[in-house]
Amino acid sequence: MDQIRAKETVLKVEGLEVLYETRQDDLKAVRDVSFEIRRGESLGLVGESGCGKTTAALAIMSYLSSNGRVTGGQILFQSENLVGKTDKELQPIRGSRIAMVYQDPMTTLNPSLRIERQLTEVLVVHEGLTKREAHGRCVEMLEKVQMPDPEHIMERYPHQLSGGQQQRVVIAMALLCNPDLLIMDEPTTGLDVTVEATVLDLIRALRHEFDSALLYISHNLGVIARVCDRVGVMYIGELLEEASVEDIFLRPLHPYTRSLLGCVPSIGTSKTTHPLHPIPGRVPRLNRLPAGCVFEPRCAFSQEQCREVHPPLVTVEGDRSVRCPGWQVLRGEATTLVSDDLTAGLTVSDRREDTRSVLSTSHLNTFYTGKPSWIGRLMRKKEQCVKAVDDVSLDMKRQAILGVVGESGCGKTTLAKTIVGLIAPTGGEIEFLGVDVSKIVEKRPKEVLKELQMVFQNPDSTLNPTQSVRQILARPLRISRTVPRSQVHEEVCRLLEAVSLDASYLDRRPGQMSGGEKQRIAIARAFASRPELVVCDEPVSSLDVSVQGACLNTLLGIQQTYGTSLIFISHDLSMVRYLCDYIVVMYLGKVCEVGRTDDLLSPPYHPYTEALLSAVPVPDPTVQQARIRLEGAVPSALNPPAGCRFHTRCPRKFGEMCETTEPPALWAGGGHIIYCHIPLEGLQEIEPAVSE
Amino acid sequence: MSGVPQSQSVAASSRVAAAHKSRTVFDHVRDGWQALRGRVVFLFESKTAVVGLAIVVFWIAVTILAPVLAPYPPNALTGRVSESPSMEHLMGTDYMGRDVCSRLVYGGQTILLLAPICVVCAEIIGATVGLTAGFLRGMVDEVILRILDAIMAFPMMLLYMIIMAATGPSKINIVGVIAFSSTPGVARLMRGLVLEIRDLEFVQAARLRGESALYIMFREILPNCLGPLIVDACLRVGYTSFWIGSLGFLGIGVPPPDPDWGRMVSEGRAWILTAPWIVVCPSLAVSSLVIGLNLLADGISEASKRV
Repeated sequence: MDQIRAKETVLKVEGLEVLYETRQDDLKAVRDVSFEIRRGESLGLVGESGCGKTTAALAIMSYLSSNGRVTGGQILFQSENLVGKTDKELQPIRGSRIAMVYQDPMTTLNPSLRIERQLTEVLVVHEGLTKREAHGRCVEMLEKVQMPDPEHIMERYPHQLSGGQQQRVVIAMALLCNPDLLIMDEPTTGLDVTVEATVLDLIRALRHEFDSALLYISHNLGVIARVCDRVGVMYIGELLEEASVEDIFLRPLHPYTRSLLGCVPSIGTSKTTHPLHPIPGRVPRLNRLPAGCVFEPRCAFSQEQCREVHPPLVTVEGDRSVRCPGWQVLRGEATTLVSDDLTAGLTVSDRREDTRSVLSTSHLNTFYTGKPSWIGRLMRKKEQCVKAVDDVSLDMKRQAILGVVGESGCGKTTLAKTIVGLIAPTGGEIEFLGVDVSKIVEKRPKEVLKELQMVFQNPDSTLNPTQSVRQILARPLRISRTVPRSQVHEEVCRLLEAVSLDASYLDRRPGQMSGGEKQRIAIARAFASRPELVVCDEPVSSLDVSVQGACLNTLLGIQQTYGTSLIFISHDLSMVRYLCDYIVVMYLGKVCEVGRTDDLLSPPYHPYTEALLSAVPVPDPTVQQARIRLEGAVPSALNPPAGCRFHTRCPRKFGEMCETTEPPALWAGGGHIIYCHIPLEGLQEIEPAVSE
Repeated sequence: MSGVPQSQSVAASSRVAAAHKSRTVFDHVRDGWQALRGRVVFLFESKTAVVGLAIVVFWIAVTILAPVLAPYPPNALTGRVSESPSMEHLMGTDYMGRDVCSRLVYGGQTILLLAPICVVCAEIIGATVGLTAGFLRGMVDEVILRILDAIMAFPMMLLYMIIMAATGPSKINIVGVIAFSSTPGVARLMRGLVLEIRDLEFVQAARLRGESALYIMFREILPNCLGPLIVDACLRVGYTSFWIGSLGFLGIGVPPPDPDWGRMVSEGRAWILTAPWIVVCPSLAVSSLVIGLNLLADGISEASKRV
């Protein structure tokens, strides 16, 4: 650590201020941000959406949009101030000495040019090489970023590569001129967890080799813990704390940092051991900032002086800084916070299990078939069939929470829609409360409808924008006749209370509410008819980290009150582990493993579960995680591998059996089933993937 | 229940709830008025909309106040034939000696009355057809689309002439034919909107509640389509005005001697070189109205995008 700190400074940002001019107001998106990155060091900027981290990065490269400009401070890149330079002056710097990697590789790469052309262009323009020399260097670089068959890749177009491969190409492009500073803005956010793990490994390996300074921006604390040496925490445009990665995660000083750590589920925490403490209140708007400390309205430790005086950033303990006058007092406090009543962490009691079954599916199939048009039939095109859900058999107990986990294309959303009835199953049976419901929702018996509801993923389209909250909540009550007509209004208010919103929301429209509030109304709407089972399809994935905790707590609270069963679908294993009693792991339409949460987290488990556990980023730098990495990408669902669908990427492939026959069910006791050819004893001997 | 507020806040929120409870007719009217005012105010943010609105409002006012504004009765012979504009006759007289200005002021009635009626009919029928086709899909959608294609392929002028030959020109015929020919355009627009909206999650949530197809179409989807429909209506009033003017020009619109801008242009054609004001004034009137309507439509769509 000392060796790093002794190296020269590559980037020093001092008192940076960035302003955006909008129709109504001028917004100060970044205020007084200062940090320093040395050669070979990586700084992570973490914060929620709207905190200004991307704006700060764009300001460094001078890539702000036309209505943004730097109004104060300096950006010293190797002692040269970049503020105020023209595009012409910056041209030799951008791309060769400072490089940037963005979030979406598909829009970073030009879809109409071959990879070779795009990569060689960097060297031709910045270093004046000929195309042939550049070609050789590019192939070398593609090997360094662990691309299989680099020569072939050079000939391809971006759309012919998978997401992970595209991102590697972008990273290769950024590193071609051996830049002094590399800026990465959420490069792995759009990727699947297993692919993200390989890209993060790559970034770590490259850092050692290339000795560039790295500025890494993310909202995901786990990723930051894995990649960065130092961390800066931002909130509405201000830097609240900056310290080494161990200090931030193990000894956080600023109340915001502590709150953030307290409301993120980690793979080691469950709802019974570590309840989430969401941060109360809302993020204030940029044109209505509080006069004193910007975090004060939501801070559990706020004092009189916090409201009046805007705290400066002070250097503390040598190499860390914090923007809070009470840091010395807080240093002594325990890291667990107690917030106010309405948002207090829930204590979930271990209640006695209810063994009655509420939902069971038997060999459920949902296939999407694409019949070719008459021209296609003329050209003898085959009928294409995507087996989105293939032979899934589940059994769900009452009052339990079942988590369905898997990466993109595994069929979890299709499974949700089939169970709920939005899509008709192609085969198999679904039995709900003793009634056969293997049909589309329009054909199901009416009494069953109100017992089975759904919470959707996207808060912006889950509510009708032309209806008020009152109308949205009253309608399901009226239809299902849960309460007599005269009591509908009271029941609506009670529902609002259950989701921690007050009656002033009754006449609001969705356009006047934030994402978290809309999602809570959606939860209230789903629970209005007091259903027996609610299916939640990634309900908090589009929300900010600090709001996710509130929504999850709301969901848990309402589930406990009404004794509802929940099916919780997510790609985030940490969240599923936190919330759910039972977990189902799916891959390409098939179930890999099903069982109680605790059983699933330690061996014996399916090799895919092992890979997921070792890939998921944990917001704790001291946790040891195995490095099981999967090769390649998820195969296309149109043409799934024969036999065990996972065999093309399985690191523990057993033999030829895996390619030809479907894996049998292994019963590991207590309802824990693993579908694998490896015998149970073999699976039991695996080292655990995550250990403290 | 954990997470439930203490007894005081329960009491407080139930007081607020009681206050929100009774919503009388007055509350609804007041909400509606405030919503309307909100919409009109946001319109003023677009200069285009303001100009368009000004022109349209001007012509509406002129037409309504025609009896007050017109210096002479429209069909009376008040001056010499083809007199050039003067103090007595602000826009001169036509080939029969009638005051052009008075005829102009009265002549807007046909267009300004009939065009909105045509458009409202077209919008109502077209929206219903489009909703049905877009929501039900399958065979219903295919059949409706083919019928709409057939209507669009048929020239409207020909249709009108056939009907006129059979039953004679009248206001009802004009309204009927124009509404009939405009329906496919509205229906296609509506169908496109429905196809987008029907996959959104709140529509799925309605399906899960067991709502009937009619409810979903008219209470969930339709209110979300009103914006584009209104813009389309404004534009369509412009086209329709032009059409009615053209019918008048061809002599098959509203029968003489009532003044009608289109027919004024047609009748004045022969004197275009010697007494141009007879043709220019009504042409400018029609053009300015249509331009105003187009500007208004542009402004509405601009203002609604710039939220």
